[in-house]
Amino acid sequence: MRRDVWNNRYLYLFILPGVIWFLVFCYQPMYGLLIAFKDYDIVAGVLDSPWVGLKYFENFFRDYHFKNIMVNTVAISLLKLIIGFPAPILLALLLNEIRARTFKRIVQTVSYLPFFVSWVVVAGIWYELLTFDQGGIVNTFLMSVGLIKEPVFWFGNENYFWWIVVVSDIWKGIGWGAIIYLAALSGIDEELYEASVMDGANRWKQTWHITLPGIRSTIIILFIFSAGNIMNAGFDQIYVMQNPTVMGRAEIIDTYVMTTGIFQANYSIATAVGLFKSIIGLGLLLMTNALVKLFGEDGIL
Amino acid sequence: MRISRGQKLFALINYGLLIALSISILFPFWRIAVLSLNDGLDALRGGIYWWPRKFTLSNYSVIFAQSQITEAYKVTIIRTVIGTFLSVFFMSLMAYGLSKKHLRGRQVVNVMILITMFFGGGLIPLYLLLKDLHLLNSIWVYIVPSIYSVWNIILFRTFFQMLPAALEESAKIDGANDLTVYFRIVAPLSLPIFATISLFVAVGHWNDWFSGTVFVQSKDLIPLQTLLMNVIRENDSASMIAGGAANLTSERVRNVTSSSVKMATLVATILPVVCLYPFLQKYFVKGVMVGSIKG
Repeated sequence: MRRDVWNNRYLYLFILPGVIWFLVFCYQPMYGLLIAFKDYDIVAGVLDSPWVGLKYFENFFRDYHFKNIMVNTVAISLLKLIIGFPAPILLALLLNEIRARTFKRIVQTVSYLPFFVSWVVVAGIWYELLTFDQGGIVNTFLMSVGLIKEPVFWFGNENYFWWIVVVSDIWKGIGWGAIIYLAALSGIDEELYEASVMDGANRWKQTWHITLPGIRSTIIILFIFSAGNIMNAGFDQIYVMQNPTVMGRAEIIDTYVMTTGIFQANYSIATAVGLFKSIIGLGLLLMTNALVKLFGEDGIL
Repeated sequence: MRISRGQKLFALINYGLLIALSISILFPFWRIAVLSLNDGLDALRGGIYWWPRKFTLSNYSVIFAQSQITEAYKVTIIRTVIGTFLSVFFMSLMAYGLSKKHLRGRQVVNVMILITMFFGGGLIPLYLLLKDLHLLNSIWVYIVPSIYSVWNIILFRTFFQMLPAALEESAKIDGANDLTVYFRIVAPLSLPIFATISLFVAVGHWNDWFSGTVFVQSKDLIPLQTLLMNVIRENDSASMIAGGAANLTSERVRNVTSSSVKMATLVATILPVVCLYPFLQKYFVKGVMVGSIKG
């Protein structure tokens, strides 16, 4: 045993800094979650702050904003799941039908571009696209085709906010999201298609009976992760896109944690809200995983 | 094989949709660049789409005339270079250790890092930790807390496991230890995965606005993305014009508007990423493929 450790001493040395880092930057904060159940006092520290039980959780559930925050978070996530999740699958299927290879490569290369810029940049670009000022592209376009009579103040009306979030999320992620499906598609055996042609199957039937089943396991795995993300809704995006006029539809759990915890220094309540979020998120992930297994598919765990 | 009318129609719609998608992505980027090169006051009249109407570089002279953006560039470049180097160095070492099936205790570490993918302490406990470690308001807050990432470790580990074992074994027989094997044989053979992950990490550093907003107050440590966010949210564009104007003749800055400053700052932020884009997309796609084999 001792000799074994000594023989592999360099390998252990390689791993050691990582173990320390994970203990400090991932596990210490888990221990710090205790302050969700305590009246955190910065001088006393985590251990010596007095216990308050579930007080902060109850405060949050009774908070006048609670319902609103939950509705926004879940609604944005569900819209993203229903509309945003199939989008890259559709793009991959469309690209898969293209025979001209150069065209296919150009479309792919272009479609990844927004993935490599930050949400701040995307927000800047979308503010400009949707601007109410002279020359806003979306307003000019919609007016020229006669869909609207006068410019719409897209970012100033809270009714549009969820849709802006969903559409810009697709715009940023669709190309990148399609890569993994394209990889799965390229793994489907060509002979299956040839055989189906013999049997008289047309393109639709091939897509339904060969292509989609061929990428089913990829779809399922990504779906489980998306389900686990329902409580997240996309903090980066929403934080950089929200403004005071749309707050009624734009406050989600994570932005609330940021405002209460960081800007107002209410550490205990913000920690409680964050913990509430991660537990539900983990629960959703495990539940979806179990459900998927119930239907005889491979889960992630 | 005969092509039916339905297939022709489908092909037509398909090409149409994909072209529309490409334009909807490229045009907004192009237009930002066009607006940043157009006279600010003139742009307010609208009607600029494909090409600048009144070409000028004064938007750029204004933003680069004051120290705010050059400082932000410096901070961003430093954190990206040092952060990427440290991150790739430490992650690859750890992944190499974890790729050795004979290593005792390796499963314990694997499980320990996998758990963090599904559960964590969240923002506030991390913030308080960084505070206790005196990392707030320091350049290291951009680097140290993001050194390791489970996903990237898995990518490295998968790659190392796919290397032929014979090379390492023959070196071991010649009396080389793990240190030599790793640095002399394994690392040089693994350049593709190093390139891929370096780019992943570097883009992450370049695009991070969050740490600059939350963990740092001091003005001279603000990274580019955080500065851009302040400019876009209009807190800072007026002060940037004023700051830039003080250093330039009024002739050149007269027509600069807060909107044209935003466009120029946006372009200045994106430009390095766009220049690296051909490499980025090539290696990124490879990285995703490696991941999807075992993900």
